[in-house]
Amino acid sequence: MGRRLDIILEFFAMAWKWIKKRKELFITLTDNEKQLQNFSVFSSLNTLQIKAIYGIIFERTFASNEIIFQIGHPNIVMYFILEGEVDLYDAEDSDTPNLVVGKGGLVGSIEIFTGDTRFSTAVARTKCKMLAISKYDFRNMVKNNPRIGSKILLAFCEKYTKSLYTKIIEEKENAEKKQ
Amino acid sequence: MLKKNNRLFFNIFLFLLFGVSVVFYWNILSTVIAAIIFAFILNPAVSYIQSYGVSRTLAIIGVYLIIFMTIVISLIYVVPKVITQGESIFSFINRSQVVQKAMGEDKIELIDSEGENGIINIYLNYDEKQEKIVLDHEGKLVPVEEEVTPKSEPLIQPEEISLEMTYADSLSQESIKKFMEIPILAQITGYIEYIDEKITFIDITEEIKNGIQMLKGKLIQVPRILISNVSKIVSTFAVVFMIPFISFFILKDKNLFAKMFNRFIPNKFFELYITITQKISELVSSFLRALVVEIIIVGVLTAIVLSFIGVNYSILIGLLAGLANMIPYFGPFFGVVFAISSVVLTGQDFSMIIYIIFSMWGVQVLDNNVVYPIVIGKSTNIHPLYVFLTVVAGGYMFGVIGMIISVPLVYIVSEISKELYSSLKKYDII
Repeated sequence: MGRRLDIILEFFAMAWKWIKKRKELFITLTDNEKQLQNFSVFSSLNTLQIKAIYGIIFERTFASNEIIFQIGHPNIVMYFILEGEVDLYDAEDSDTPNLVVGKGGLVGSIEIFTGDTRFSTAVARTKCKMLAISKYDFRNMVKNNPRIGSKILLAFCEKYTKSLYTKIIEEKENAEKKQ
Repeated sequence: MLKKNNRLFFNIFLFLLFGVSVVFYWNILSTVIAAIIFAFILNPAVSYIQSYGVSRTLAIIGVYLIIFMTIVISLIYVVPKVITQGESIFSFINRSQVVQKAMGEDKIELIDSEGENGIINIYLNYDEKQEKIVLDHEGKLVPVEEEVTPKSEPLIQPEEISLEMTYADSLSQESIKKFMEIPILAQITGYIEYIDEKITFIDITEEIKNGIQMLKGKLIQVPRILISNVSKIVSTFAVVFMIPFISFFILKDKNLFAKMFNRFIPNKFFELYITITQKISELVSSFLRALVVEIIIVGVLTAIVLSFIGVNYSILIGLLAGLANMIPYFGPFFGVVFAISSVVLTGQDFSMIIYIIFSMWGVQVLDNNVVYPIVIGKSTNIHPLYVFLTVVAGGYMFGVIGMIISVPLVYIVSEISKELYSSLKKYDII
């Protein structure tokens, strides 16, 4: 009896998967939604999940030299750069940017996880088209859609591990060069 | 410069468009607000179901189905009882008022004090001069049924309505006959007739016939009621149908609406706007959720406790006490007053009043110390005197609605002001 039930349940699970795949084939993404897939943190999401994430995203446009966020301000939103470049400054009185982030990059993401105030100032170097996600919507999305949440969080972990790893290698190489 | 001017003109155009839209949609504004409130109440339930991997649309449909089932079950089990109790208590109050009306002023018919019947005639429905009561020489009230004016309708409608046999009736009887020829139904009818023959004091067949006759009588009245109240039915249906319909789309596409509004917010205030709207959403949804849960819990607890004590109309009083509980401080008092009034008016044992006071106090203790902290999660931290004054002020301004919404409204406004001030400081705007 138990075995038969297992087979039936397995059959239903397979049928459900098949239906889901078919359903995904019929769903088409808009151009803006397609652009989301280009970001590394969303690359593992399927079409349905991309649609769900796009629901909580706001499009913002910043003029050249416009301040996106300032150091010391509360962290509410993280930005994904669709077009243009953004300068990041570690200090308020700094003239030269510490980092320039271009198309496909994201700014203000670490603060979303740490919950601290902004530790950098972001200024639009050129006219920028960005996608903004508020931390409230992001946290709700992770909580209410654990499948999407786990994929995104995993992607963030990979991203930060890679950047940390790259930084360690760079520092190692610099140290070796100095020696 | 030209571009700036163009932008200004476009903004004026948008503003005018907004004004025209407001005028156009003004009549359905209250329905839309009700739908937004409804959506706020349902949102946590939808999100909860969604967290199990269900799509948002399916989650909304699921919540709607649960509500629909709850309404159907209440319509079957609870609402008839509440309506019966309501009708009964209204009839009672109506009679008492008429008696008082008849007893006062010049509405008492003085008749010959030496007559046989009595000294005063009192009419329970004075205007119709029906249900006459006579105060006899011993000071007792004696109803006199034979003197009811034939023009006036009796207060209680007869359950059976005699109907003439029409062509339609004969057709329906033919079809019923054919229907009864179906083997299983014929067998069941045979069993019933057999039981009727064996047990003489139960006349099931007659009972069923009476039941069908009564149902027919009621059904025949339906078209008349529908035609005479068509405008009310249409408007009620429109509201009942429109609120869940609009709420469905608000719940489904809430982000779409948020996106639409967000476009008009300048970049400088974007994050501030998100902080404030989040705060409003949190406060309003938690308040509405708490309100609904409290009404249900207090109502059910009160009905149960009063049923145990044996108070008449316990379900109706429970419902009223639950609704009255929305008003801080005064609400629980109203609940007690309803219950005591029921005891006094229906002539129940006065010792019940003590039990009522203690049990209602127990319900309040449970509500304040268990239900409220669980539902709200934290105290509103408003001084009791301030709450009291706010309720009174709200009552003066907008009546009962003002008493209900004044405290949460003041709380929400004060919290938003605090958040706004701190955010404006944090963003170096002030």
